[in-house]
Amino acid sequence: MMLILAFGFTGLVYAQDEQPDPKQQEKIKALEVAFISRKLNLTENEAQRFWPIYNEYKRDVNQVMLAQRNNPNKDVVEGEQLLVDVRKKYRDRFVGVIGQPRMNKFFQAEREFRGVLLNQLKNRPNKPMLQRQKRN
Amino acid sequence: MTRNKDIANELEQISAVVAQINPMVPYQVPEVYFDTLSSVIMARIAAGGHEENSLLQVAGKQMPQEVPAGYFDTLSDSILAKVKAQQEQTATEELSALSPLLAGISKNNVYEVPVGYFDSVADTVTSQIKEETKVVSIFSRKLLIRYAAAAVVFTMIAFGINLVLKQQSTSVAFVIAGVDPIKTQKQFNNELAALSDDAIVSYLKLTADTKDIEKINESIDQSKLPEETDYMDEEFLESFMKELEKTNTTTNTQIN
Repeated sequence: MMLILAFGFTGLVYAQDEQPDPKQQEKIKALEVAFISRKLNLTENEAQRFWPIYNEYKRDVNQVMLAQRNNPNKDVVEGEQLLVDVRKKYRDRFVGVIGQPRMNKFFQAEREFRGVLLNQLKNRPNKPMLQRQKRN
Repeated sequence: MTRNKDIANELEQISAVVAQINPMVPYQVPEVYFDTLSSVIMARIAAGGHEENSLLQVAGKQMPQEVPAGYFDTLSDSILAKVKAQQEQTATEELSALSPLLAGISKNNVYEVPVGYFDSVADTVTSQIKEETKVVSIFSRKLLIRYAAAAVVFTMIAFGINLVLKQQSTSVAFVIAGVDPIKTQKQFNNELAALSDDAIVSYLKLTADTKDIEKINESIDQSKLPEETDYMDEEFLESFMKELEKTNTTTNTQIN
């Protein structure tokens, strides 16, 4: 099953290489910030130090993901490793600001947010992406 | 002796009459008076006041005032006799002579207590005290309500401050991230619903890792999956993508 989906995604990646609407991506970014903010319950002082690190972290993750996407010889295992490396790199800095338990919570919340987006897609009437249509 | 000019002018301003007075001292002593004064005084002390012209010599030793012989022996008796000789007066008569107003006031007590009042006064007071305890209890209930109200207000303020602080920390997040703030759950849901399928798909494509893909995989409606052979076909994928794009565009127009 995973293979199927991986194919589906790679297909999408190659098919839509044009840039996504930046306004919409900003909106998603705002939603993610709101979501994580709510999960972590930061004080103002913590927020002042947390969010700049978060921005850096997001930039690095983006870089890795883009590199993966544009790499024709991409290796799934290698890709995962690269992501884990980025997380490891930022883990200690997050712990320094918000502590171990909330650091765990943060990475969890990040994933949960993607779950929220996925559920949103799933609950839309036409269920885009999540159902395959018969070939003509 | 002449006065200083400034002092003279000042005095003139203050009082012209005083300024007119001759500044010369009118009293004089013989030139050698103070040279001999001390020896004169010493000589008089040595003389013991017996010298001529002394005031003590002039006064003499006779007492100028005199009391008859035996005066103080009979003084008390004579005073008492004079007191007794006076006409006897009652207190009322004396009072009426001194102040007719006070004498006119009746001596009767104007305040009276009913018969047996003090027999029952203890019970009356006790019963009244009991009533008052009731009043106190009502008051204390009021007090309780007040405390409760204060507690509620305090809690609300505390929550308010908490909320404000949280919102501040959240708004800091939006400022740092450089995005428009989302403050309420409702706003969150609205914004989420307003996202286009494309935007979500491309975001997920960029961020989803292997675990997310598993999740996505699970949520695919399997009943409508095409034949297995279709997946391996590049041509199918192409056409699927195009179809998907078409669907997305129509959805978007519907939403818009």
